[in-house]
Amino acid sequence: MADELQTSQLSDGVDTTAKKARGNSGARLKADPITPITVGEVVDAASLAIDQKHMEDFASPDMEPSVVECRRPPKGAYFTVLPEKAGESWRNRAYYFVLETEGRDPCLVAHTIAEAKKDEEDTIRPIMLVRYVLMNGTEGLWPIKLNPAEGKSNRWNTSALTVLHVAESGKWVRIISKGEYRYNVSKKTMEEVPPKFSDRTFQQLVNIAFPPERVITSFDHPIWDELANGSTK
Amino acid sequence: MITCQRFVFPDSEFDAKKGQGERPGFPHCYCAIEVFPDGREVEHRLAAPYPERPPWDRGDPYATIGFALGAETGSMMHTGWTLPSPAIDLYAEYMVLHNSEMCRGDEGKKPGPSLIQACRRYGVPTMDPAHKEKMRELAYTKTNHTPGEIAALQDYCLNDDCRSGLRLFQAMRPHLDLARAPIRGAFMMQLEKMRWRGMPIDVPLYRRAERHAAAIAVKMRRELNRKLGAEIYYSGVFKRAAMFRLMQQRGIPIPVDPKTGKWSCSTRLLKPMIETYSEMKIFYEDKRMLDALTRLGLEIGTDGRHRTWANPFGTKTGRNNPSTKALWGLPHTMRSFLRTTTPDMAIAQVDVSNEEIGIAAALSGDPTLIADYLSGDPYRQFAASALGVTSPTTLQRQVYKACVLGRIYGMGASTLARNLGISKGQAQHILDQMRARYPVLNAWLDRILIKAAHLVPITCTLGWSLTASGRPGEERTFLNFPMQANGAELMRLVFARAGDLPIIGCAHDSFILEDCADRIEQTVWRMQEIVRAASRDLLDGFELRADCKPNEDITFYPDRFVDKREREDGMRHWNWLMRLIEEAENDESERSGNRRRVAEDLDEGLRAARTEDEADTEATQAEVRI
Repeated sequence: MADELQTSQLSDGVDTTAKKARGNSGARLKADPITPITVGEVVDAASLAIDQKHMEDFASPDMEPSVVECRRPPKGAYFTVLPEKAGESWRNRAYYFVLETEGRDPCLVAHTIAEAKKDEEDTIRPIMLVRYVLMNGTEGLWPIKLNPAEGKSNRWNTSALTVLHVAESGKWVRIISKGEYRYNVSKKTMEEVPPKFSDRTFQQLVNIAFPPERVITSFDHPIWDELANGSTK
Repeated sequence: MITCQRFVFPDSEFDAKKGQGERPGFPHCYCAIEVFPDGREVEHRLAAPYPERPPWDRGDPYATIGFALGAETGSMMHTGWTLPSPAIDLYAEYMVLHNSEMCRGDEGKKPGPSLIQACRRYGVPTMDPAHKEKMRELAYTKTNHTPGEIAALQDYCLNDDCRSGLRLFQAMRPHLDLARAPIRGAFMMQLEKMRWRGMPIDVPLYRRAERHAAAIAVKMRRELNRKLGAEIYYSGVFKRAAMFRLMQQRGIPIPVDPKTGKWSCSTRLLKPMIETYSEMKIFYEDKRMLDALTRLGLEIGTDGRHRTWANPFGTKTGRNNPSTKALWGLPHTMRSFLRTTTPDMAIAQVDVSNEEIGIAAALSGDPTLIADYLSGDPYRQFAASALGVTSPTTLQRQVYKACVLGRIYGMGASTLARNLGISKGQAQHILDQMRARYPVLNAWLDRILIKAAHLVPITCTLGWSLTASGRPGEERTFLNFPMQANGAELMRLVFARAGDLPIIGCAHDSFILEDCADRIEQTVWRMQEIVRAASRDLLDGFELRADCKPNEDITFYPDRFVDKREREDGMRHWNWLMRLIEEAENDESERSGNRRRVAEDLDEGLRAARTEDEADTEATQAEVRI
């Protein structure tokens, strides 16, 4: 009897009547043919491991900071800037008029307004905004004050331009303030630490750094009343 | 990769001996459907005596496919057959495919499906549950089946179980990750081999603890009240209000349960505070012992070995989720019930040190964290750097450890301040120090959250994944998910490669081995090599440490296993438990002595009364006679 319980019986796999099963699942359904499969092996784990860099999938668009600061590159941090091609329009720097008062964020002033106010206001001055990036990928706008067209040049302004020229030559530099702007050049090259400028345009950065309320395009702007009559704020 | 021309869908009928701590019973029958590429099928019906190897094992590669292959592993261990490879376990694959949907409910993750439930999920015709129950009863309640009964079991085995497995495979096939499924299949079978071996328990001592658990718990509650100077247990009932009052009086911040928004003194929330507040340490450790005592119920077989279901893939991170009745589910003190009972045998623990930090370092690529991990003690390195000292104190290390782990668990300054007993400003300063030291890690953690917020799967190295549901408060799960879930992937690969290594238990990040005393060190070394190689394979060459200190982590007969924390605590709780067992026994014998004396006194009184009665009766009868 035991032998009868040991069988290996060929089945057509599709028969629903001739070999009706004694189990209660009833007649067999016709099964789809199973094609050969290729499967992994335990020894293959290294090649089967899923690369965890997929965590970066959604990083780029959302990881750009929503704040862009308009200030000198922070002390102690190496930064670099993009050079501009001679004879072509600048892409990553521009001249602006900026209005600066104590205790207030600086505002950009439209060229026509600045021209009209230049005789009565000493708070407006021309600057060059330059896009920079730190080694960790943080981007910012560096406002470099310009020497007056006539008269004595300022050591700070002049030395800032010197630092800019070094930075745009493809170096990581660090500003040191000692009577004028001095600088250190990092031993790390651009190949070792490539600068991570974002895909944003220069104008987008300016728009983030200077939201509409800080761009003065008319004489109705509240700043003029504040400058003329004062403010309790 | 290996190409298989044939498929085998095996199943066996046996007494699973659930909840008894026993090995599964000898298979009453073993059946399989063998499928060829042209659609031909061969049905195999086997019963004892079994051949040396299964008839479908003819040397050429074939894939073994089943639902919960662990169940078949026990039968294969009985028949002496080699565990098949490659093997695909449809239970494991179901858990991989449906993890996110199983975690959507409010009650935590749903339990894994039965074969019938899985078939219904895929719209596959399957058996009647009542019939399955009837057949199970036949398999479970008898050992001397008649040939007719064996044939009935074979019919059920083939036409219901094997065929349902085949249909389920066809339905699931388009969704299966065939490249990685065999790793999970091998893991499931090795896990069952671990249960087959079982953990040796000091049964006489355990039974004494179990017998006197109620009496011990009474004394423990009394002593805990005395230690804390407050009646947090009143008439054997834990009083939360009393506990909150005590915490307020001692200036201990009361945690708020993030799920309910209410005060809580659950041990889960209090655990991070125990190094800061001594009262909380006392409460946490004693309460856990008390809770464990009231539900002691290790499943121990007649051979004195503890066996329980590890519940693989039972958590959303893919970690095992054994019941609280498993030895490793008890407080670490009680792990000392583990003791090899055979002379010349030894037990060893191989520990994946700082597993979560190592995985975070490897996946984020943070160079400082990598260097700190490789130094052997990342928390010490961080503390030394942040404080500007060369040798930070244990407490300082503890503070910075809490910070690193807290950040990985999504902890904010408020919670860190509460746990460490410092101001929120100080906590924020420490968190800022961490951000400054590990900027790459922090950016990586932020990116995980961003990806999770897009409601797309976060997938680990071997395919385990979880998708956010969009509910608020999921951030913590996803911050910690890559570390926990990849740790689980590592454990599965280690198991799959363990071969004949005598693993008898595992926790999240450690493996327990039992072997001959003269071979144990070699076995440990092999295990360490497997862990290291597995971590290199999964973490792009990064090697995690697999520690086992011979003087501490290897226990020889007749010594008992001692958890590291218990050892560092000077066996305080273990000795306490032993004292309470002895006291309970003394009390019992005293009570039984008293009862005996009372019974003897009663007997004597009754005898005297009977003598008087008899005398009276005789006198009366004499009078009557007169």
